[in-house]
Amino acid sequence: MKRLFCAMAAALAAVAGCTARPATLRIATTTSVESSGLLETLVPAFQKEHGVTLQAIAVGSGQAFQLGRRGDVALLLTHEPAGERALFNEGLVRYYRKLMFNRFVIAGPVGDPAGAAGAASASDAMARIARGSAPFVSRGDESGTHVRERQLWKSAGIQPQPARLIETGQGMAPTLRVAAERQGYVLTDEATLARLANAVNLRVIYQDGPDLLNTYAIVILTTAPADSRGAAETFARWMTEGAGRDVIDRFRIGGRQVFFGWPAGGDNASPESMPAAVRGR
Amino acid sequence: MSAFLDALRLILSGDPEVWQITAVSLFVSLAALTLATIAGLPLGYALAHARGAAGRAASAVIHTLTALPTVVVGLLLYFVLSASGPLGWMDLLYTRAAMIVGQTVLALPIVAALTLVAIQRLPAAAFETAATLGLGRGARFAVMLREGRTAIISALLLAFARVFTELGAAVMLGGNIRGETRTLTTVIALEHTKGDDARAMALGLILVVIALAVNTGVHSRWLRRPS
Repeated sequence: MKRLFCAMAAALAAVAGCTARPATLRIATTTSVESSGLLETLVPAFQKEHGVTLQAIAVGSGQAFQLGRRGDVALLLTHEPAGERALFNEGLVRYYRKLMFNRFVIAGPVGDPAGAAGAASASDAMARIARGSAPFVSRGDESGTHVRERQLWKSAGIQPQPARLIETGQGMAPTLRVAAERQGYVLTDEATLARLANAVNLRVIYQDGPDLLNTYAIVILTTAPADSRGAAETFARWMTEGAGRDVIDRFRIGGRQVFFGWPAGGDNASPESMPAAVRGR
Repeated sequence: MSAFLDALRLILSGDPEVWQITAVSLFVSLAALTLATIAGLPLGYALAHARGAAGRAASAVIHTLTALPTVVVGLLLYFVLSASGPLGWMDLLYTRAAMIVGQTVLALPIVAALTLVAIQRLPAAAFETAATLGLGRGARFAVMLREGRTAIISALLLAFARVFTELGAAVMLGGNIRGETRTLTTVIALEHTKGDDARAMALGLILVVIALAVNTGVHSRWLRRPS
């Protein structure tokens, strides 16, 4: 018994040392930046150049906005233009730049039972899925992807029956897993789908048109902790103008580029900005 | 099955990050258990001697709190520790210290409630002996702990198992930050979502082995039934 207490006392002594932190910058990122593996390559590169350790909390964009409003993180990396616009309207934005873009894709069962691949537009594809018999698997978590999904349902003018709309309430990767298990359709960012390509039995069904453009922004709010504002601005500039850009453009999943740095010189200052040259496939 | 073999390979390869995560897990949970023990043993002892309606009510509350859901503890403490919360100035959110606080809140009711039961179950003779020897308050506390040690150690073991294997408070208060607040449970959840099942499985194996080994070790050393 005495020995047990000795061990515990030693553990307690170590607690004292655990609160001290070196130069760190705490940010909230959308889950796709984390689950794609991009974050893992950004962290050491930024640390090497600026000596600041990034501590990233990976959450949906909706939760990232909340963490930012409460001042729990110094910088946000999000992909939800409407929510970012709301931050502007609340007068909370200190710094805003578009950082990179890629595409949302509609993925689904290999056989495409709803025939969505032949659709004329993204909303037409969603309408075909809504009228079909296969389920649609939704994030249901106020993430950027979920918000985009709701916009697409709105422009499609139809939604699947509630019984065929499965809400996971989880990140992109677990949602893809559910979609694969239930052989349903799902709206996903292309990076997470590429990362899970070997683990889930889904294929890209539809990926064309401006409705599916996915833009990522860096946001610093006025509520950011005062002592990390400098580091937050350094990181933001490094990402948008410095070596961070190259890290983004060089990043590959299975040989494929899945994030594209924002075109230099293009309009990047508002949530509604679009990359000038939307690449075709 | 191949994920299982990859898991074994990963453990045997001595990946430093795997062991760093294991160390964080053990550190956080042992620190929480220590704090819960320091507060919980005297609390349980005091409750065992509390009389009247207030005493009964306090005992009922501490027993009820053993069932606190981990995610609720995580959520409530998030609001308390958040930068705009009452304790935001301490700058604890998303640190190991915050995880320790959360797990202490989870472990404390278990330690206190089971200490209370252990002392209540002691034969009346033990209390009478202590009283006739004219022992002071501290000495009586020590005697009671010694008399009830089997049940108390078993309480500590249960509290450790509860915090070492929990996910809710760890992920909500720690934020699953790489190299900082990643524990075995938070990484298992993360690696699974990333599609790296071998890694999730490897960490799961380590989690199970440690949890079982601690139980077996403590059991054979202190809780073995006399043959």
